Amino acid sequence: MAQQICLWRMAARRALKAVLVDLSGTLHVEDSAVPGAQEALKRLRGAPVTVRFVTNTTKECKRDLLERLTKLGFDIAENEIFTSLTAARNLLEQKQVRPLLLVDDKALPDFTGIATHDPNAVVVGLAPEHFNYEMMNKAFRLILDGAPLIAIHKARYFKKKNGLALGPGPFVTGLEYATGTEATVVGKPEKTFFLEALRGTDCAPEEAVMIGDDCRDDVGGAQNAGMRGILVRTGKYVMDRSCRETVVHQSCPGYDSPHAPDRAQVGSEPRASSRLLQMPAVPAVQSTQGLLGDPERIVTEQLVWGLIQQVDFLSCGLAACQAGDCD
Amino acid sequence: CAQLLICVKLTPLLLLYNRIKASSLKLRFCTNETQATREKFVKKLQGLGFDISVDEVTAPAPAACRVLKERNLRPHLLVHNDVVPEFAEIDKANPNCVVIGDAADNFSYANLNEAFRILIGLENPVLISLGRGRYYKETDGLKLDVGAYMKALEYACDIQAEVVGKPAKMFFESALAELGVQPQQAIMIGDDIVNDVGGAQQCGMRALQVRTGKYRPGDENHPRVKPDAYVNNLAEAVDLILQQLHE
Repeated sequence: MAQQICLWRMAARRALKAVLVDLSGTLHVEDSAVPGAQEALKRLRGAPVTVRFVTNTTKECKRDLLERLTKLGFDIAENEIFTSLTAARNLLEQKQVRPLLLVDDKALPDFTGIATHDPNAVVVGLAPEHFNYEMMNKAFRLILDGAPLIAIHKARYFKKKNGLALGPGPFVTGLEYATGTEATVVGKPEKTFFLEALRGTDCAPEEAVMIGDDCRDDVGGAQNAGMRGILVRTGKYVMDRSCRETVVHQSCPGYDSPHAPDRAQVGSEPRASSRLLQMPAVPAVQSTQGLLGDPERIVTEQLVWGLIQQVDFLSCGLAACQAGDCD
Repeated sequence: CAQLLICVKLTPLLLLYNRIKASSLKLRFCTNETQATREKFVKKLQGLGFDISVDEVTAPAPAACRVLKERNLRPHLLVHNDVVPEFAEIDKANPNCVVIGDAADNFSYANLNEAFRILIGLENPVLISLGRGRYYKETDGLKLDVGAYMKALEYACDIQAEVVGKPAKMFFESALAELGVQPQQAIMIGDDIVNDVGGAQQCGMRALQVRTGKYRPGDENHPRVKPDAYVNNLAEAVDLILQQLHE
């Protein structure tokens, strides 16, 4: 209870204008919505906040994501979706370069309109079919000749049904070493990802909060960009409360498998559901009159609080609480 | 009297080669060539007119075999098909390490994944790399060398590879030991500024950079490595050396 009040007090200092919501593990787990999430989103829509749906993905274009989420009962518009592919596209447009796209075919629609003839840039996503010697050499030669290397993300590996599989990270690392250059990484937890997601919302990072299931990529990344971060105990959430001690599961969060190999491994679907059901309900929101003052802020904070069933605040507010700053 | 170490991935120049052989200089060929066995490799050079034998060659695969035997390691090989025979006498059942070489087209996603799975599944992952070159030159352009893929597996498994081959100190030292000479008495000639020149200098040898093979003009501004001299090719290198010998 003390924790909750502390957060409200902290939140009162800064008005909330934007909410970024992670997809896999937060809004849905594979082909099922997180229980209560549709309702929570409806309530969030009633608040004066801009909502963005953000995700690291290397093989789902916005159109496909939208279709998936709409089928699950979420009311979302395409322009509210921001992915690591969008971030890559933005960067290509800014730099005015023509990319060699080492990405999954399903991701190509997000690059429509970008010229790819006579490439002078390289974009690397999770694309095993392109990670053969011939294609890697093609990319290598371009980069050696000055082409910028853009990595959608640098995940080391991810989990498939039949075992672990190499992510794009090792290949990006190999290209960096061979060419003596450094890739620009555009996905979470990079700062630019979060700042780009806020572009067009007219909100500063301090006025935004990120909600996600990955301690490092969602909460850590958002906080590093100056935003607040809320960690949900669904999806990939690791039981270890300490963000720093969390197993650094540098696997691809969400897009290939929402369940990274970690200590709190949730394997098959039935176990996942039962785990969610075991979570204690959030205590009813107490009256906050006198604590916050501004009714608009109260409404916003209540909705954010109620958005996800299980919330664990790992933001600096909690640390301050433990240090005795709340009275 | 001075001894001589020559890196072999160079254009053949028969006359000067015979000059070296005729001088009082000892020759050793230090190569990171791992796309062929020493036998095959030596045969190729003999076909080009070089009088060279297998026991004049210091190469990574045999060096790696020594390491594997010493430490009871059973390797999973991610190497070029043509160098596999070098490992014929090594037990490869139930691998407890990975040996990676300049595998070229064998660097497929599937093969890399297999190597990765073996490493990540080991309690004590050992990755032995036959060199750490970034790239090399072929007739159809520059190509990624073993170093790039070594780094890829290092990153994926969060481990450090052990390098057998240039520029590992041990590799040069074993070549010198085979000749019975001190580093100060030896000169390395090569086209790879980091692996040939840098590696040799770190052992206390002198080193000459040839402007052939994988050399790129940018190498002359290398932030760390300063060759004892730049020469246009092996012929000039030999001229320089023989000149100094006779002074």
